[in-house]
Amino acid sequence: MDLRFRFWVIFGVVIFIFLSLLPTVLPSVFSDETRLGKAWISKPLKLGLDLKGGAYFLFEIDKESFSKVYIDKEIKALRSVFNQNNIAFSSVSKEDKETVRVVFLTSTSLQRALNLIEGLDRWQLQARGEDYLVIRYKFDHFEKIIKAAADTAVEVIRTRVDQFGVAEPVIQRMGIDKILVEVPGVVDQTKLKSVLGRVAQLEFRFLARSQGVPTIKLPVARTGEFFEVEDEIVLTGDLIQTAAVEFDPQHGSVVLINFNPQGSREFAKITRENIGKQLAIILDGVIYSYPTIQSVIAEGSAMITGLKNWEEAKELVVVLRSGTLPAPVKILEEKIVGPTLGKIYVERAVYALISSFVAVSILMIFLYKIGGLVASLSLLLNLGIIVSLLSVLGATLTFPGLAALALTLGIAVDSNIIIFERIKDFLKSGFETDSAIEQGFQNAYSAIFDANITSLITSFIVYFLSHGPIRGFAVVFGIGTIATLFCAVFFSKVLLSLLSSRGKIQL
Amino acid sequence: MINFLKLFKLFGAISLGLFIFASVILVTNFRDRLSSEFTGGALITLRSELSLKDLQSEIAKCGLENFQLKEVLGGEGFLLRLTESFAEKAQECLKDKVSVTGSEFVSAIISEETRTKGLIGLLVALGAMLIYLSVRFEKFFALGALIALIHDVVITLGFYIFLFDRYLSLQLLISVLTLIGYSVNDTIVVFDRLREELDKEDTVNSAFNKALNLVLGRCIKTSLLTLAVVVLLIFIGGEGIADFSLFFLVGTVVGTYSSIFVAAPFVYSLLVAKKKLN
Repeated sequence: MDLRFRFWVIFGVVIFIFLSLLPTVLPSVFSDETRLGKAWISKPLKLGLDLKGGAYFLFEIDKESFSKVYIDKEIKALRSVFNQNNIAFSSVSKEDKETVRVVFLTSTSLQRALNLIEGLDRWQLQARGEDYLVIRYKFDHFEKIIKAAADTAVEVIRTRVDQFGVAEPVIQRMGIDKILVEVPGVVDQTKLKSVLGRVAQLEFRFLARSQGVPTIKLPVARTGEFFEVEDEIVLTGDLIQTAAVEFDPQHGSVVLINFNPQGSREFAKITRENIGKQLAIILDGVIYSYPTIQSVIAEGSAMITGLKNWEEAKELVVVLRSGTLPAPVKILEEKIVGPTLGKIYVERAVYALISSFVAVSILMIFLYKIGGLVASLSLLLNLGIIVSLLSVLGATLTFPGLAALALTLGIAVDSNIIIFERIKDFLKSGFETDSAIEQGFQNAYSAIFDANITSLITSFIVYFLSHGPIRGFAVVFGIGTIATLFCAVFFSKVLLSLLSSRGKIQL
Repeated sequence: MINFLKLFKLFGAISLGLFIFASVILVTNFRDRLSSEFTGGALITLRSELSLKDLQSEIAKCGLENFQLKEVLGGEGFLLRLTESFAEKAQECLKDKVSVTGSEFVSAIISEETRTKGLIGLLVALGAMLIYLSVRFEKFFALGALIALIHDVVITLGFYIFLFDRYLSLQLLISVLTLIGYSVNDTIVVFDRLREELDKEDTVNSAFNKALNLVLGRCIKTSLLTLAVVVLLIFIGGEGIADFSLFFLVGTVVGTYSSIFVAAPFVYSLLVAKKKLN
């Protein structure tokens, strides 16, 4: 390769860096909403929450309580399928959270049910008797529904976060049952937490009245009493169409909900068949009110009373409108980086970076004169390549990434020192400048290659085998090592050769 | 020319002493010093007009148990570490005296997952590194690099705990990864010189002496430059990156030292032993 060609390669790299850093410099022009921003080779470089401040939550679907609720739904579905197919059964009941026992009235019904169940994708036969079947979820069914529940939860949480009006929140499913939420910037942490993590599971159950029906005890809001309600849920809140805060002279702040057409029909049916009974309105396991059904309610609306104040009612509307979380969630991890601390982080890290660069440049020029200048330029190019590759990949720069950046730049300086020391050795033993440079690079290659290829191998493996912060480290370390190879070996040599061909240089 | 071979025994003894000392510190303090990111719990950063002592007694008045209070680097505020169940109580109780700038709650479950996955990745990566080094160098060199690596991590962690009153945080874990990268790079550069001189020189002794003398200039310059950057990071980077910068204050010195005085002597003694056997 002649020198001119190499020069053009470097020129191309510099142009590439310039173009890919444009979105970071002018984020508004290249934002995701613009056509230019979508088509561009790179995205604005994002800073991780650990650098910029904000709130971070890791939620996990509470599998235990989800499975309990879910099996009830499955039982309900089975009953209606059997009814539709004229299968005579006396009971469908749950054995445990994944198993159901169905008792039939006739053996033909049992046989027909068996055929029907085989056609469904979720059940498998576990045991059978003369008049009963015990069926259980297929092995991967529960995992599938948990995954689906987590996906639904992501959507619900996204709608809720959006109501806070923050820029670029990150909400995504991690693994099967975890949900990661990152909300940058200043937010009311406590409010955010209570809104995001709230299930907003609205249920309607009858107060227990006759013997023989399974019941559970639930607390009543703001009284401390416990009431017994029937175990069976007659209606759930996922059939809600709208919710609004109203002021009721008798009850204070109330939330008025309207069911969708399907919900209205079911609600009408329930009220028609149960006049005189008390229907408990339960939100997240707490009974808010338990009105007596006076007449058929056909228009499909209900009122939640028993709320503390207007604020609570408003919060409730937010969560009800965004939908119910498919299952309760637990907070596994919660991190709130104060915005001022975050801002100081970034500012100080930038100052530290700039001053380190200046210090290293001064020391290198002091040690190697022109060579030091070349090394500083090489370092700058190295930094440029890493940052531009990160923005092309759309990666987020976090603290581990910064640490890896520091490491690769350190190794890059070291590579330059190795080369210059070699060149100096050759100059001392009487070589001409040109051949000393040539020989110096030749002899330094093996050390630089072995060191950097080892780095590359380890960063690849760590990248594929780990996750989270350690992975962030590996990404930058891998990219940085490639950039170091290019800068220390290729760029520095071209520049030194170019300078020495123009006249004598001192090292 | 420095006669390195004569120094090998002396520094070998020093290294062993330091290693044992650091191991003892590490083993006895490791559990207590693990940050909430690993153990689960709460970590609150706060600012206050009060002094460390006054604040300590204020917190004690709130009836909190098992709390630990530290001043952050540069005196910008405090770090309060306590079990999760007390976090809210602490914030409520201290409301008038401090302003809370950040708080973290971490459950231990997730950190264990991070820990095991990270550890597996690291071990496999180290295995691959050993294979690569035994292909490119002799297998003794691969072993030497591993010994130097363990030496660096243990001594640096031990002295970090001994010298600085700080927790072993996630940031520190990242710093350990960085040190591994630094240490391996440094060792390979020294090994490269040894490999070269072993080919040129007639005896192992003269090869080692010559190679180490030739590479010494580079080692000193690189580590001084790194040290200069680390000092800047400590003074300018502040508490945000303090774990990293303080760790590297020790790590830079140990990492450079070990390539010449741990990895090289180890390889040397194995090579000599092998010669004797033949």
